[in-house]
Amino acid sequence: MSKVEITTQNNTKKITLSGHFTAMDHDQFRAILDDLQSGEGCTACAVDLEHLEFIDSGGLGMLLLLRDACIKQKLALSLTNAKGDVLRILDIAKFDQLFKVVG
Amino acid sequence: MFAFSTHAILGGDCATQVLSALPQTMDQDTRFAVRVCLHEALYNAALHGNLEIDDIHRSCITKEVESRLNNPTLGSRPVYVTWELMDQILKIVVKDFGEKPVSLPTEDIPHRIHGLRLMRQLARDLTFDPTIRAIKMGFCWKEAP
Repeated sequence: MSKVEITTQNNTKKITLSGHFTAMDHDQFRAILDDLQSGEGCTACAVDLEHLEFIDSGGLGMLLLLRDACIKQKLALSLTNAKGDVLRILDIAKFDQLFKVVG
Repeated sequence: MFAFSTHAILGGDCATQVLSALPQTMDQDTRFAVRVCLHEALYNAALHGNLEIDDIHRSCITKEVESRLNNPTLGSRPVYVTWELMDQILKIVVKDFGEKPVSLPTEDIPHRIHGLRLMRQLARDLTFDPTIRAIKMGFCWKEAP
């Protein structure tokens, strides 16, 4: 399972994922989505993937749920620091067409 | 052949265990494709095959999985993985022991079939045989330079 941390800095919600982000993290990530709705004053959400080793289709699905939530909350969403296998999986899933992917 | 418990699949990295048993001469692209497809096939077999998790459980999947893993019937079902390398084609079969009828999804359902999309892009061929509840994947085998 993944370790999921959320912090707020300069009007930006930062979600840090590490380890393996899979379908088994769904309930944990749901709590993050709930937290996002209480993010008064925030204008952006950044997901830091630097320490993420693997993401599967369940993890991709949760990023799509996050995207929906950010659109609803009018937050600019970005995926940052993806590398290795995670970056390849994002490319294959064509997530660069759905998200702002920042190196 | 590998026999994994459903619990081991959902709590560990069984795809990497299978990878470590394959000839280590495979190139990085082949290794990546096999790892991603194996993971997806194993999770599908564990979640939707053995534990019979449906879309209606998606909003609370972790709790539902924990509950079903504790069910003596559902939680004890294994997943078998076999592989064969012949004529530069690696064939892998992942078989579950669920009892609920399953099939590969054909509709474009958001949040659901990304696994299938990933697998179709990475595997040379991909078929599901519902009669033996097995997904069969083929990969072009390339040796590392």
